[in-house]
Amino acid sequence: MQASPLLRAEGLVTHLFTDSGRVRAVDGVSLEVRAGEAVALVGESGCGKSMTALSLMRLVRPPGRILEGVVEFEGTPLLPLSDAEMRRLRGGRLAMIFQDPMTYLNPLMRVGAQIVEAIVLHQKVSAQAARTIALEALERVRIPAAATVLDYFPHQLSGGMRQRVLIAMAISSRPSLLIADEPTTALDVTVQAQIMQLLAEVRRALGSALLLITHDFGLVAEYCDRVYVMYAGQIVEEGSVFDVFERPRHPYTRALLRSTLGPDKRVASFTTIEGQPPSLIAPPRGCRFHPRCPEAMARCASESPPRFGLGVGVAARCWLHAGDAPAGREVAHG
Amino acid sequence: MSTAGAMQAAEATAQMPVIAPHVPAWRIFARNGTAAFGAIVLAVLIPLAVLGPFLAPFDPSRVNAGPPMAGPHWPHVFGTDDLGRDVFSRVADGLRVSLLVGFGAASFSTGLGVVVGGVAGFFGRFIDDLLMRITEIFQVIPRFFLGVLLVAFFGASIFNIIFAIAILSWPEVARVVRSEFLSLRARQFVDAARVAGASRRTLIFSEILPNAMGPVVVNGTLLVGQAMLLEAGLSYLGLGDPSLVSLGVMLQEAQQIMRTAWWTTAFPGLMIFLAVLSLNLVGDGLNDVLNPRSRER
Amino acid sequence: MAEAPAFAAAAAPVLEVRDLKVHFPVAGGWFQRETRVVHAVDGVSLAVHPGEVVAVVGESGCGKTTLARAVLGLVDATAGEIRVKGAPIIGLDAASLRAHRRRVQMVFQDPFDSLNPRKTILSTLAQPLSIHGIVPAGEIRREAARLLDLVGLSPGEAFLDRYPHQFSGGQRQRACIARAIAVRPELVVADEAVSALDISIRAQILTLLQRLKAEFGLSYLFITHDLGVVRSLCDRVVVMYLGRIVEEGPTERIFTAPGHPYTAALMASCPLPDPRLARARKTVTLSGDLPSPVSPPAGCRFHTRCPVAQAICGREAPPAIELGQGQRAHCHFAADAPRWQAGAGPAQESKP
Repeated sequence: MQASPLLRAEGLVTHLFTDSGRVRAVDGVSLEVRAGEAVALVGESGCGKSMTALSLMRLVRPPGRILEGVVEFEGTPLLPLSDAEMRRLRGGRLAMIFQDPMTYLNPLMRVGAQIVEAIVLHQKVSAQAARTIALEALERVRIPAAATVLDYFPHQLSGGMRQRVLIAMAISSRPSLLIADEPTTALDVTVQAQIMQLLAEVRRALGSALLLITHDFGLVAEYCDRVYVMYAGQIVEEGSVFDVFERPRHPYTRALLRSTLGPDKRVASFTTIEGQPPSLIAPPRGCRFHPRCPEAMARCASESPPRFGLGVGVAARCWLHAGDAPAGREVAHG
Repeated sequence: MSTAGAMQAAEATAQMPVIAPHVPAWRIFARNGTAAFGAIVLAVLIPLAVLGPFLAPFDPSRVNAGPPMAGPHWPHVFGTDDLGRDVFSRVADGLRVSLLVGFGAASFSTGLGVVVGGVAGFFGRFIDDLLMRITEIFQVIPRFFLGVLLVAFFGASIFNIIFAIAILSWPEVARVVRSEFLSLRARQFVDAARVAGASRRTLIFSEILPNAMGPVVVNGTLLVGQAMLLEAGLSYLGLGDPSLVSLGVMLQEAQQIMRTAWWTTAFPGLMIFLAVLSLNLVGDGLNDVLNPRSRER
Repeated sequence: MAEAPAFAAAAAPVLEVRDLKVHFPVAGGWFQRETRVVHAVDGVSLAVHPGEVVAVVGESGCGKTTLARAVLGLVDATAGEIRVKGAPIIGLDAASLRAHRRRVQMVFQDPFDSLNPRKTILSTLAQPLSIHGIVPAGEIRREAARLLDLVGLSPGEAFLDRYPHQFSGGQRQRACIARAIAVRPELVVADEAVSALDISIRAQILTLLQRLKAEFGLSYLFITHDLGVVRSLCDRVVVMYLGRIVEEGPTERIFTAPGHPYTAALMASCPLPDPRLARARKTVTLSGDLPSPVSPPAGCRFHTRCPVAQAICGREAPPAIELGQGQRAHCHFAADAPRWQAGAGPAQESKP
């Protein structure tokens, strides 16, 4: 095992207490991100991936609540921190980028003023120095005529430009980890490619790690080193992109990859997963995927499979691997 | 691959809801505790008003039904006024008149507002411009002042009062309906009906209007309360229908004796307060029921 | 831009669009005195033949959705011609337009917005059935149940009296497809019909669309930005940029040998779900954003972002250059395409 991970979550449980019942959005999630690497948390909508990201940042709002688990960032456990300490960390060493930049930009404030505000909050610098840092950050995200853009209001920018501004804001404090929740879902493909390449570039320059929350296997394959596949509130498979894409161990991952259409090849007939993702209020007993699984066995319906380590950093939560490896975390990090 | 037994086991425990359950409207309404309280109060007040003549122990206009200016006592539970009339019977009767004015004015103004707002919102362009300018003219006139003027000019019959209040309230409804129509007519399900070949009438009455009714009903409920207050105000100034006793008329009549006989103003006032409050609470609750988003929670 | 589709002779096209223009006035400036025009669709010609699946691809703001809406008669065309089975549909009176609508149907993008939340599925399906008199009134319920069975909502009877909010996204999209095929159309326009769906549900819906096409001999006009869907489902591709067609041709040709730099950039921007291929290819990204459709660039509309633009591109609108097999690109340098594509994309150096 290498140096201790930058971010580590262990047995994270976050439930939402809604009128219709308890939604088990995050139900025992363990993951880690090491310094400088790009990790994907991939899954379909409603699988709990965004709630996982919010839990890691401790941004869960009622009716949601983090019930259990450990989150460690740079060796510091986050869950016991005070709100003030957490605020210092967020937007500092730990930054986040969201799907809809407009939600996170104040429409009545000039872009420059917003970045300066964020910088002054986290770094002990004068407003003048902060403006210089803001300008540098905007130039780093390749915004043309950055000095003019500082005086723009958010509505004067295109979607791609706004996302760049948000990235500039996030990197102005030189974070060691960027959590990006569907950062390009609202954008066109050519702009998506610009933003993803920019993220990769910025990461290289600053040595930051990336946790990318996405539903798009294409983005995972193209921009990430390791993958966690999430289904119904749980991580069902993890491994390097090559492991997961070339030798998927979980039937869900296999089915998803077969359903994923890329521009690289013509699919003669679409392979489909029947049915739809389960309700997280009353998830199926046993393995949560078993009602849709083409390879389900008798025990899948009654016993929840543990995480089977299948090599260095490779694991799957599936009874098919019961014979391959003893359950538990040790093997995975061998 | 799976065995037959495994598949059966899988079937047995498959808990995927094929179709989500339909949440009944009353349950959403009941989630809002204060709205349920309002509904209960209204459930008492409305029968009291409607059945007032049968329930009331005395004829509301009978003089010397009891000793004059007597405080609450049996059988005059709300006391009597300076002419010895039974306050409880008069309150029940007054509530009927007040609610009639409230519901009458609210339905009238809602009807007018829906037509004007709907036409403006659906057809848009210059029809919209024209109707909205007219609406604005009505909106900038001080309402209470125009009400006083209309009633003073046309006479204080109950119909004139309802008409005056309705004329003052419809612009609000029209604006709400117009903005609903504007946003609904661009929705995909309206386009889908167009593609299916639906006529303009079908589009308006079967696609757009039912979806615009939520805010209209909520607004209408609030309008009932507003109209009751407006009527009380007019009556208090002596502009109420002289042949009918509304709660506002009772307040006006009791002005002189308020200090010595508190019950002559307190009970009619309390009725107005309760009725308007519960109408507003019910309006809030209806908002939850009629807003489709509250279902998806 | 005005030439007719070249292969119109092969079989009478289900849909023929000629030199279509759709312009929208936008009020601007103080007191709305200054009126400008958005050139949403600016001279587009295309044809869909019986049994064919044609994709219209491009980024938001390229005019693909407006094109679809014009074909459905949901927006008025400013100029040009739209023919369905040879009959013009622009300027029809209400009754003839209704008859036309039976032949062309649409599946919308957002399954959460395209069903009336206050109507049961039965009454949603009954609407087109009764308007076009597809079945007698007494048989509407049975027909609606049959349609639901057909789209995989079975038993259909169990779904008829439900409201849309009780359905998942995939189920709603199936219901929308049932509504579209209820009137036995010849052409179905699908406007981003699967892009709002999750991967597993998307595959189910695409399978359904493929099955219905075979079963009823449908043609599809597929409006999408998802190139994976295009590659797998469509026979021909039309690429749009700022209201105009920049390239069209058979799917395989467009994917393997794009003749227009914009098409090439679009392909290169689309993420590949294969880590080795993705790492092996040279990525090219377009610089900048889409110019405003209010004042599109002169000459070739793509020249402001084009990696291989030359002086001529800013002056002259490029002609259509035939590249064989029905592929043609509107680019001055389409004939040189293999050269600038050598590195899987236009060479960066050629930009001054």
